[in-house]
Amino acid sequence: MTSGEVDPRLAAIASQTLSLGALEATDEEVALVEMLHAILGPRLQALATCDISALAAEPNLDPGRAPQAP
Amino acid sequence: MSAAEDHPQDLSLREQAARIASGELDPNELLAATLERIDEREDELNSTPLTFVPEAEAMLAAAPPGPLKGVPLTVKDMFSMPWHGARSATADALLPPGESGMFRRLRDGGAVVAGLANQHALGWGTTGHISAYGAHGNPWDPRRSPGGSSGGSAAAVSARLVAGSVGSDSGGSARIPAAYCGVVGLKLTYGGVPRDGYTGALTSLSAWGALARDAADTRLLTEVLLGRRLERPGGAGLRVGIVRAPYWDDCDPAVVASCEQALAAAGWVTQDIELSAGELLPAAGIVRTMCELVPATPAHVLAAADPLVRAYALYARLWPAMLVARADRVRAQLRVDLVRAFERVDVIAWPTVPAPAPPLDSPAVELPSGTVPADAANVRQATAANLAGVPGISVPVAPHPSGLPVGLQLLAPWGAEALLLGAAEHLEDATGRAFVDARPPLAR
Repeated sequence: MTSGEVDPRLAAIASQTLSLGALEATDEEVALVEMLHAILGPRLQALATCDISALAAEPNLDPGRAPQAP
Repeated sequence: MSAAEDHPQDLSLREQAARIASGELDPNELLAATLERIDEREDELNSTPLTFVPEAEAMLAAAPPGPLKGVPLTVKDMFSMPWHGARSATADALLPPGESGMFRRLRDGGAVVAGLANQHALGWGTTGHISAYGAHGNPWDPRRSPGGSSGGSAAAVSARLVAGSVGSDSGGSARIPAAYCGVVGLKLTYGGVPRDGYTGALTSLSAWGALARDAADTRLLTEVLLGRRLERPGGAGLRVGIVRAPYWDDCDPAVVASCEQALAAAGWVTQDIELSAGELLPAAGIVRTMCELVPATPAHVLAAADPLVRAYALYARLWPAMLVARADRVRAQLRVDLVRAFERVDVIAWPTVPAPAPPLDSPAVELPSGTVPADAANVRQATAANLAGVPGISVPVAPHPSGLPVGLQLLAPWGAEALLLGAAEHLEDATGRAFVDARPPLAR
């Protein structure tokens, strides 16, 4: 894919997802979404696929205080 | 006043307050001089698009005794005031006019709101090139970004339009502009203040920010915002944690050198520490931020927003919901890691921004990893404090070879604003105040 072209798979998913929310996007906005995906996509993919089984959980988060001991 | 300080806005915030209290400075004259200076220096900056002349005069006439009695400030557009509903630099008010909690704190402290600080629209950016009030510039080079989203606050303080300004920080929005403009910016601990009338009130990331020219002024403003005095711990002999990757490793080498020199000058003992989910923190921050901010933004405001702002909102709507749950696990792990880290060190340090302010018309920065949008690079450096809820401060250190300011960021445990301010003051003294007292070309 060359710069400026929209991946047709992303365009299809984007169109379907936005239609779920009754949202419309112009061609310019879709191109900007593609740009954002090129920048942020790898980080988001890493978050989506990482093993979180060893990470802590905090059901009653209060950002104003240190986490309480379980 | 000396010849170099022949305008009252060249005085520090604390000196303005002290001279008003002693009768040496007429607060009416200070307000008039402040409004005059804003007029004089705003053409190139657009940091303060609105001034509130009759409202400020009324506040001054009714100002109660307080630490900032009679001192004019500017306030970011995320806070409502009795005569102005918060707009977050969009076309329409997001909140109705009224006394926000922040406004009450300033009023009760005797301060006068002289003008509105410009900001990056909706707080969704760190560059200031998108705003319903127009782009705003950096006093060190008006063609460059002042940072964001509290860019108008930092620019106004740096250009000596006012000596203090109230911003906010959901993803570095007080610290990043402070670094770009060469002033001090403090992100408060999450919560602990009245959040009504604040467009960031519904998020779990956003905190108020205090911006001033040095640590002592920032302490004074912070005390008014918190409504209580802060202790004054010294900043000597601190143990400082260093998180190498990615916070030091992927920065402009000159920025790293400036920050390392500052730490060495402070005489602090450093030790390397690790955050176990460190590489995932930027994504967690982006997901949490956008999934909280987008639903809180009215549809008609988004419809009228800049295409890039709309694209952010559209992109966030494409993310699977499971990303939020995953982001929260990363966030929880970060908070545990910080508790453990703060058992070994007093503060944690890394560069506030990885490169100096980029041009407004092409806001990208050059890093060892390549050319990246300034937003992505800046939020990467900032978001840990917002996810964790801890306070953070940016302090000016030696400038970049380009002449643009550079900031060192310090993070401390929850509620330890006094420690950060003491550390910042020590850092300023250890570097001969050369960088907090430096004036941008626009203020010489």
